[in-house]
Amino acid sequence: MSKGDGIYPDDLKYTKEHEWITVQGGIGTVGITHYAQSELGDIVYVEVPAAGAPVVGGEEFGTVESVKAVSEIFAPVSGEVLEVNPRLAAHPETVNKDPYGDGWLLKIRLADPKELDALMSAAQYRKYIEEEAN
Amino acid sequence: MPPAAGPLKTTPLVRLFRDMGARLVDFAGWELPVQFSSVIEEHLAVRSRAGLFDVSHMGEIEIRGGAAMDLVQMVTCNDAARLGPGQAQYTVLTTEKGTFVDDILVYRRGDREFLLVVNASNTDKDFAWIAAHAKGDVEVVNASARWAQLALQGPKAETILQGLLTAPLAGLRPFRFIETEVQGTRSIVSRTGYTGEDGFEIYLPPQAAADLYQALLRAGAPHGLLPCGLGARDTLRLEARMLLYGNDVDETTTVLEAGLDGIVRLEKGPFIGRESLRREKDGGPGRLLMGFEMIDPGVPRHGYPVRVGGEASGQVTSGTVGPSVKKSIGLAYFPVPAARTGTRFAVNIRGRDAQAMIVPTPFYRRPH
Repeated sequence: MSKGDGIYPDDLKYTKEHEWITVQGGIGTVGITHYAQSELGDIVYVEVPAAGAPVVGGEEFGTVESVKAVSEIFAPVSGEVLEVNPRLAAHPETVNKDPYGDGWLLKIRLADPKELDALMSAAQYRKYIEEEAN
Repeated sequence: MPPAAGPLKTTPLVRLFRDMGARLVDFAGWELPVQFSSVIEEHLAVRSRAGLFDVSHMGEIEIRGGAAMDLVQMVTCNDAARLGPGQAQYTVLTTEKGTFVDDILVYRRGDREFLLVVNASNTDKDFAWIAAHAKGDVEVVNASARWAQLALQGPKAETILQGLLTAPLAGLRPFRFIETEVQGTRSIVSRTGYTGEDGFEIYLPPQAAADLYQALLRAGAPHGLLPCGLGARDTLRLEARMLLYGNDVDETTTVLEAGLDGIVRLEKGPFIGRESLRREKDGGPGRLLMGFEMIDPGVPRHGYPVRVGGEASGQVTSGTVGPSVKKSIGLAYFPVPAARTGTRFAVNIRGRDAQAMIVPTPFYRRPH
């Protein structure tokens, strides 16, 4: 099994820094991918900006920490933080268990939906990971 | 740790680890497993059941001859004369300044024979240091390539290991060892470890290591034993306030600053660093290594700056989220007036000051 194997839902968009986003009604939900959580290992702390903070597409906006490492997370698109996943303060390991579901990081009101066009599809992301792993 | 030039060194188990799907990393020039399943699962397995570590990268230095005791006494600060054959001791190879050449285990195998177990990255340095101080009837051998080492740790360790031995383990007290056959191979079995749990370290020839490792995994499976990597070893040792050379202590930190007063035996006679440590003990060290926990959210990491009362006072030497204590914990040096339980200070976490407090250590103490 190569490192690229895993679950990459088709209805999400992906970044080269291993975040995902899904958009409904101008609101994007953001998380890190199965690949990212598996590479990091046990996640023990998640730091993201509070509701109301601006984020800029492609720029660092927080960190996900595993027992051994700190990993920066990058905003897939620009916008304003609407909500932070309240579960993660007490249960950061939810990101390991359910990276596309209960382990989402935050919700963003998109400034410019066109920014989504620059992101990867599931198929493109899978190919990207396979290349990165080799 | 800087990456080593050239290919990584491997232990006799590396092929097995690849087959097991372990995540292997460069650790001080050695290719070693950082985790098999999950650092937290492995850590908790050691605390509640048992875990098996390959620590064959550790160095072994043999000292023998009529002047062996004199040499061990000269290069270490603890009192090796307190050891009878079959006893082991945690000690420090000290510099003239009373700082750490290395922290080590000394095993007394006979009247004239010692085995020193040293940190992998320091093996060559330690060997050269000890050999340079050898006088009279004594032979110093870097025997690292002739020894593999497994560490079986946790409350189920005795039960699991006993099944593979005829010699009884129940009466073997901490820091005692026996030389016995394990699966037909002459081995040293010592009741020691670096996790804060009961457990054993088994020294044996490299060619026998893979068989024993697999036998222990099989014998341990019904007891919930997990293969463990360096990640769990680091969180376990930190919860137990066991020091990591290169992070918590090195040639710039003294044994007294590290809080190891109990193993500085000034009365035993001359040893390297004795005069420096005597002066330091009389005057009191200027700083002390203390444990702390975070008050604000965040994870302290090695190298993060520490400020006490607004003044820069040093850096975090080790830090993590302790899987057993379920808190962000760490170690740092503090100037003596501040080095006491309850002192509040700031850890700078990537540009943000987060509040923390000095607490008593060890962070974790086993309940039994």
